Amino acid sequence: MLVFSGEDHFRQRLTLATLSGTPIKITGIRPDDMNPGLRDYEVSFLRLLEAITNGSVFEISYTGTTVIYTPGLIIGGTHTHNAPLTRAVGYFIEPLLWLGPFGKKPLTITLKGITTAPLDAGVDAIRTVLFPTLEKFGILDSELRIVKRGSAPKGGGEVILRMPFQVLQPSTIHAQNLIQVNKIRGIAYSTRVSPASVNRVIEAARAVLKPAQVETFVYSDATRGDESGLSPGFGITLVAETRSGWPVGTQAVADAGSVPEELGAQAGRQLLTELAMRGAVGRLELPLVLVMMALGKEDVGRLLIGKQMMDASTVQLLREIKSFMGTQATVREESDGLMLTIKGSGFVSASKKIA
Amino acid sequence: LRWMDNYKPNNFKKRWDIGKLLYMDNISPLDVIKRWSGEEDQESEEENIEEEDDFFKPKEVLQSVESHSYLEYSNLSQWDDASVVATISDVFYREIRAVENA
Repeated sequence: MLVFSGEDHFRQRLTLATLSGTPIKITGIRPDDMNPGLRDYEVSFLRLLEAITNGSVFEISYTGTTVIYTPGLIIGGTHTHNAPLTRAVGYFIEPLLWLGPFGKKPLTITLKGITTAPLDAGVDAIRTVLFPTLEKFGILDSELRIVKRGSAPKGGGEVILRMPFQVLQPSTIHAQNLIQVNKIRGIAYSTRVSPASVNRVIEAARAVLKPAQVETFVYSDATRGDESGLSPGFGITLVAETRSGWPVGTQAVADAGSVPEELGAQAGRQLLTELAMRGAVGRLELPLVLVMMALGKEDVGRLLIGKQMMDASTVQLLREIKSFMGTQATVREESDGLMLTIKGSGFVSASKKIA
Repeated sequence: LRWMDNYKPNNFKKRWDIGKLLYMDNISPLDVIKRWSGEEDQESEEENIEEEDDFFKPKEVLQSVESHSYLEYSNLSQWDDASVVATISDVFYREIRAVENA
């Protein structure tokens, strides 16, 4: 059993534990907080794990500051999950992308709540950045249908995640060439505000990106009526499409008092910041890429990342991958970034072993 | 290279290898990045020495850091200057444009 302390990296640890079939114990979850223990979204995530696995056992201490988790088999199947309004549905979808391809049955989950919020990957980022990333690893046909968009604080959104494609192991990748951006795409949305604000966001983003002299097209999705959830809001996701097919993306979401022009310009500047990091993949998909590389067959994969992408959370993830999967990255400093070589752990989807 | 801006000549003597730092579990992820980028200055080093003296103090729990925003950005306003955008022109693919101009 692996033992961790603190509330950080909660999803990451539970998800890696589920993939590797390792029991874990997490202690010291906000022990000094006025409201100690697990948050509602963390409990909700435990419920989701319980739903898509078979035989998982959770023990939560009376104060909620300690969790012991013995993972079961990943099953998948069809479920509905009501996400709490403290996090966006992306909080739950991201770990599902790690788990979904390795279940016994295809995964279909209807999630209700907030569709895009600043803290989590928005539904558009998942569709335009994380799905193409999965395809690089041989996991095809993932689909995220946005039935209704929902903004914070009241949500009211609904999305359907389908991961019909089952793989034994992700393919080994060699992403060694610096990104070469072909074109920039994006999607701006609005819920319960004037549709004109979407165009104002797009115009401002395009203006910032103009000096880059790349073909830029941003789609607009001004939702109306039933499709627009319960709260007003707007946001934009920008994605640079590269020759190698690895997307580089960013998102910006309005909060109270945001001006559409400022938000659009901010998103444009963010995208340029992401591109300036160079590397062979984008920062948004980096955790997914590292996990899929570690899950691959026993073959060495290579990944070039920008030096700034090696931040504290990347270090943490690489350490946890080592703890759970036993595979270690070797890092070589090169003139244009860091070359990581990761040998796949030879992981075989636990549910497939029996069949 | 922006990550090198913090390097002063006298910092070079204690350059760290990220490949080794990465799995030194006694160093918190945040400190790994600080040491590697040379941000850790002498002040903090002195602090470390003091901490070592307090041998009987309870060991501080290594706090891992989860970012509190999905992606963090700094100095975004620099991109309003077209000459700064020009510094990353190498990431944009230009072949088609070259043919058009020919």
